[in-house]
Amino acid sequence: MTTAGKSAGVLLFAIVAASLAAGYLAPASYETQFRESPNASPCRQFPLGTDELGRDRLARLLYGSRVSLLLAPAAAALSVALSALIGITAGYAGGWLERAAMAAADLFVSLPWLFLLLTVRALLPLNVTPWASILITFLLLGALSWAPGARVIRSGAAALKHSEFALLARASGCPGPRLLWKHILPNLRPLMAAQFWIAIPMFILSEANLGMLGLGIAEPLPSWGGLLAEIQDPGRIAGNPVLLAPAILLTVFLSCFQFVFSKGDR
Amino acid sequence: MSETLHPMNGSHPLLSVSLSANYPNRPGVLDNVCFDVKSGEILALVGQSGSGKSTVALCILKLLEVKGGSSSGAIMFQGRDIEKATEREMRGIRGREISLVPQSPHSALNPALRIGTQLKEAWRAHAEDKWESGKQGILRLLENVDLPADEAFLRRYPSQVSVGQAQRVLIAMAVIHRPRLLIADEPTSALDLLTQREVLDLFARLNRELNMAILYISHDLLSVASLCHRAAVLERGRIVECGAAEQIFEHPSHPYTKRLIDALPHLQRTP
Repeated sequence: MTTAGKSAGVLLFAIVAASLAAGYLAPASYETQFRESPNASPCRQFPLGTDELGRDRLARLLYGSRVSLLLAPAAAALSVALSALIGITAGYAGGWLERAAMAAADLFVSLPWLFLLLTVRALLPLNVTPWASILITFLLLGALSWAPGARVIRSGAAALKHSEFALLARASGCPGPRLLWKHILPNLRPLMAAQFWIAIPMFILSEANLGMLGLGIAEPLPSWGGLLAEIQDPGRIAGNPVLLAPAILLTVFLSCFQFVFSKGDR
Repeated sequence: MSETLHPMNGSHPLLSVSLSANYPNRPGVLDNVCFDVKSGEILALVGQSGSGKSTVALCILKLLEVKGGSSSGAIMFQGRDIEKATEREMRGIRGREISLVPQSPHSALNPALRIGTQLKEAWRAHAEDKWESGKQGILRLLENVDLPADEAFLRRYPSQVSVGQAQRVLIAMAVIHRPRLLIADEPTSALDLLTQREVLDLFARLNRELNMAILYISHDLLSVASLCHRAAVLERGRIVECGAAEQIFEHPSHPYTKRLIDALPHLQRTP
């Protein structure tokens, strides 16, 4: 690995570690309101200052990283599981089932994804508890993004179904479901892993987009998207550059992520 | 010819086949192909590429549908017609009564599974007991087919063994349940001559030791001559000649068989 790759990896690790050590690095809770010092500038007690409700920005950034960094892989796993389920069923069963699944996938792929995400989220109840909003975002991201992966996995499964080793497994008396689970699935693992790693940065960005529009994780729980919503007014940034911290963190994280994982693919 | 159509002396042959088969875009791949395999004998099915040899193997295992083809006729195996058997019944026969050794060792092994896992899967298809007991049997089997019989070998992936070893793994996999009939579909075509010799000796030994009949499908006449008791010659989906192996090689009666034999390379150089 190159020096640049290594440093990107170290940086990624540091961001994840900092989010895990949030309680230690920022003793204040993400929701404690220090009423006597709202909109404080960075100081010893609040290294990134406070927001308009007097909440410690550093605590909110670290806890928010925790939420975003947990949500994206979880939604990616759900998305890959759905893609695999639909793709393998279609590829292995063939016939009308395959045509129906792929027609649905084509439809999903041709819809503008962000628009679809926003529309569906807006149709669901918005006034929910923070944890319910995490669950909704997780299910939404996972459920709306199965189509591209399902197409890739379907073609993989269809090719494997006609492979010599699948024929031999049949010739040695292996029943259909076992053939699928024990012989075909292990060969699809690299495809599924690739789908998983591609989905993570996509979902981090999608959560940020939803959050900026107020459709993401509900207050008072912080997330990168929710924190970015604060800098929608450019006028405020000039007076208080620390507001850019979540944007910088997000950008650094995603660039390091792409650097480390897309290099690893080759 | 006639002796192949009817069981000899009233004793039932192990396998008696009378088959026609079609692919959607290629009708008449097999045109009333008839032959018998007696218990414990090695019968060669000879013919050039495209003559329908592998289709015969798939028909007997009732796996032609997987390749999109369809077959009709009768396949009498141990006194019952398995052409009419259900998929469930066939699952009990495949690998336990009739096994297949396929053509290209490396593509027939699953690249994502360790050798041990693949042997275990083949064993598991017809065994209920604990893997530990099955594993001992498989290690003995590996030793019997001249493969390293240790854990380290079981942990290897197909890409980490030689093509000769891969072919032996496939042979071991096919004989785990001591089938009555082994179908070897061009098992030596991917091997160099020395490895070919070893694999042929292995087939001869397994045939003797396990009293296992072998349907040896090949275009390689030399290996057929050295291994097989009888041979049937397949030309464009029809059996044109069938008889004792020596007789066919020394006195071929059909022009196609003569052409096949004349096509063998000679070591003498023409002056």
